[in-house]
Amino acid sequence: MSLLEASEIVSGYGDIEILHGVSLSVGRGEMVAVIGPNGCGKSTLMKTIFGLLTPTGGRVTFKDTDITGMPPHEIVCQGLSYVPQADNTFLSLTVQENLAMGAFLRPDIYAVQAEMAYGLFPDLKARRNAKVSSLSGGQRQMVAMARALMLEPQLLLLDEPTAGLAPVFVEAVFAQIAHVNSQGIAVLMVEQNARLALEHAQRGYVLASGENRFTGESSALLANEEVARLYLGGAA
Amino acid sequence: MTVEAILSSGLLNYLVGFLIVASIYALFTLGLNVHFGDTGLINFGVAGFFAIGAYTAALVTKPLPTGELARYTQQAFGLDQPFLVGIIAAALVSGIIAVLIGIPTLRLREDYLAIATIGIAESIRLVFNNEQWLANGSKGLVGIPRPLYDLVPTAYYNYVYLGIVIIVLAVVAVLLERMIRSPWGRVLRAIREDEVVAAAYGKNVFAFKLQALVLGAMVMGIGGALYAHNAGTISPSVFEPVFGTFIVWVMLILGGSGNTKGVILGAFVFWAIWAGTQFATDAFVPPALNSRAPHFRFLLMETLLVLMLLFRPKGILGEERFVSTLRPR
Amino acid sequence: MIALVVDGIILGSILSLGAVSLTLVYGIVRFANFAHGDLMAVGAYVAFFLVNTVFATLDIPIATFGPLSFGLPMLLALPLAMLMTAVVAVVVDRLVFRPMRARRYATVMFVIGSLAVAFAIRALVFIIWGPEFHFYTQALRPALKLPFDVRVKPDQIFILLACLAMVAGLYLFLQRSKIGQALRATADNPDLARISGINTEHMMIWTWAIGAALAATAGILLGIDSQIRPEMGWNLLLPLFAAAILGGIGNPYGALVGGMVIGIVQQVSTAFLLPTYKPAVAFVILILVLLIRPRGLFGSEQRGF
Repeated sequence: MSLLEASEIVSGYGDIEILHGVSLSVGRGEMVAVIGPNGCGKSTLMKTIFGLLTPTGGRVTFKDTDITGMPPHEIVCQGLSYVPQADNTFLSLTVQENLAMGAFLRPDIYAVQAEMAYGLFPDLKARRNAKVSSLSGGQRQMVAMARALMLEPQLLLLDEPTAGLAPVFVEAVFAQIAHVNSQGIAVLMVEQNARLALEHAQRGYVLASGENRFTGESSALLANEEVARLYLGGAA
Repeated sequence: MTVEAILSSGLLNYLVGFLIVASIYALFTLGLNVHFGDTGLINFGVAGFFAIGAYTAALVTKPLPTGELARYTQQAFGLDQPFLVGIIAAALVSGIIAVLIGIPTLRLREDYLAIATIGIAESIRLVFNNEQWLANGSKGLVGIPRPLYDLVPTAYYNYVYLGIVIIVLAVVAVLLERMIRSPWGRVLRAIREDEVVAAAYGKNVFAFKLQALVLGAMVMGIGGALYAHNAGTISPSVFEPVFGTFIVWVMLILGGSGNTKGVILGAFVFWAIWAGTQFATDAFVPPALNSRAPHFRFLLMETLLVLMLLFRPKGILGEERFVSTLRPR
Repeated sequence: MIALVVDGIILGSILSLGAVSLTLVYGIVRFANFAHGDLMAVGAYVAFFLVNTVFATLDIPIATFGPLSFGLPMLLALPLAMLMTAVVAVVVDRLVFRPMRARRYATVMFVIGSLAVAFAIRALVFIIWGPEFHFYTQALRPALKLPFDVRVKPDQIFILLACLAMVAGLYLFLQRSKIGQALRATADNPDLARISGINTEHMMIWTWAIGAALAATAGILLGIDSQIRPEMGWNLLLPLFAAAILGGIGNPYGALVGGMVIGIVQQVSTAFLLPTYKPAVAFVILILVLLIRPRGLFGSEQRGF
């Protein structure tokens, strides 16, 4: 039984339809990557799953609860967390306050979760009282992920976690994601670094023009000639 | 009844007076439509341009007071010029004020223009209220000349003036309609829909906004001039924000912001509603509350605007779609 | 001149409180609320109603506190008026602005709506209390003589302290309390706040309630300092916006300084200009700021407090 099930999602901005019926599922503890060219609707899919956009068609269920059209602040209560691609931290708040906001709904578990987050991202502990605006890009990405982990989610949605990061940080971020996943937290990530993403994920979806194009085990996708040529920038 | 009796009957006189003022408000509404309807600029200082137009026209067309009158009327100057010169001067001075207010604000967020226009309108009113030497302070100016006054017997003069006002309104409306349908007007609409996209197409957004601000202000100035010649007397209290600014916004939104025919209709319809509420408050508000009676009408007007914004933001006629908007809503 | 500066500091502290609350609301609802001055008037008039109508008929001891011109009734009226004004603001939000948010209206529509609300409040004040000036008390209290020939009324010292206490209280609330932090988070990044589980509609209610309560206090203090009148809200609009923009709009700590500057300049200007020109003086400062430093003295290049 899958944890997240999105079926035939139709969504977009105003009159512009971006997704024309996309389906995907994520199992418990699984790591799934969504790849595809720019403008194929990857971010739109994430926003729609998380209730920031209301789909005009299709259904999203999480742990068999229908969360289609639910506002974001209710979706987080279900055990789903989301790290957007850009603007994913509160820049004018301190690191510690960012984590507190992540645990806004559960102040009772804040202390425990914050310790866990600092354990996962030791760099942040030293800078807990610094404003996020004074942090480096890589550190900000850690804050963003730490904030999303505060409510003990069962599934973490990551929208391009390595976008805009220097190459040295990209491997580190993937290692952190793998570490999070190893704690039993399922991960659904959208990535530009398609090859790296598939190498870390168990399964992958290739979107193109707002539709599912390829679906399968990561290894199968990496081995697929057409996927490699069109979306991975080279031969398998 | 003879023609003469009909023309001079009270009801008809009332109707003519009603149409004159409604037409003048239609001019203000047309000016505001250039600002907000076409370009998306928030001008909360219509009263300021109204006042500038009225005072400019009065000072340009009035002679300096002489004899007995000079003892209790002060004015900075009195040029004794013809009506048309006054109208043109009113438009020009309003336009200049618009340039001055536009330069510091039009590059910034839309709310800044709203605040600054309130400021200019209030400052203009304060200056006319306090500076006795300029235009007789709070007592205001009387005896503003009326164009073509000797053409017909005094009792029929209002018909002449109605004719003048309607001609001006028609000319302004046709010109504005042409401009807004021109490539220039399409740029304004594009700016209103999405400034960033308009700038990305290489348009100098600031210059276009400034031109729109000036054009609308000039139309308001003309309206102010026509008001002064109709009333014959003006004082700073005429240019209070509710009557000078807010009512014009209600007319604009009621008729359909962005639609030339709509906003003219809005001015006439709302002026009729407004006259109706006069009768209603006369009938229902006890005389003891007389000083508060106008505020019942204001409250009604404010409620109407909120209801329009919420339930019919496109107004009675809605907006004519003659350009494809850049961003679907 | 020193006397004018002292008066300016008192007026400035009231404007600071008004501008801080204006900019707090702006930071979260993201539009310039033209009804803010009229919320101050609501507070002032509700307090007037409580002190001079309700409490006057009850047997509340009119015991005054030392040299202050007001007593227990006013101290009781203050929190009640804050509460009432907060209720008014929240109800207005529910009736006018929340439906607009739900329909994803452009900012301009909110701004126009707020102007309608401002005039509607003023019309109601006129209808209920009439066009006359009102004073909270007719009692005159001797001014304290300070060095340099400066005279300060005891009330004015109370006003200054009350304003400082309110702003300090707001600071602590925003920094320390959970709701305060969530308000800052919402001002900083509303989408991320929602993703984090913050119900931003609740934050709107908190914002309006706090903003209106502080505005009410400022209105009452202004009433204690001078008098209350239906147009007070409208006349305050330019100084309030000038103060908020001078401090960098959306930046409450900047608004504090902005309010002080505007208050002092307004008072000192009365040495050269008619006092009725005070709103115009605020307007001139506003234009100068927009020309020279449109982001304000302290800038607000990013969102959030």
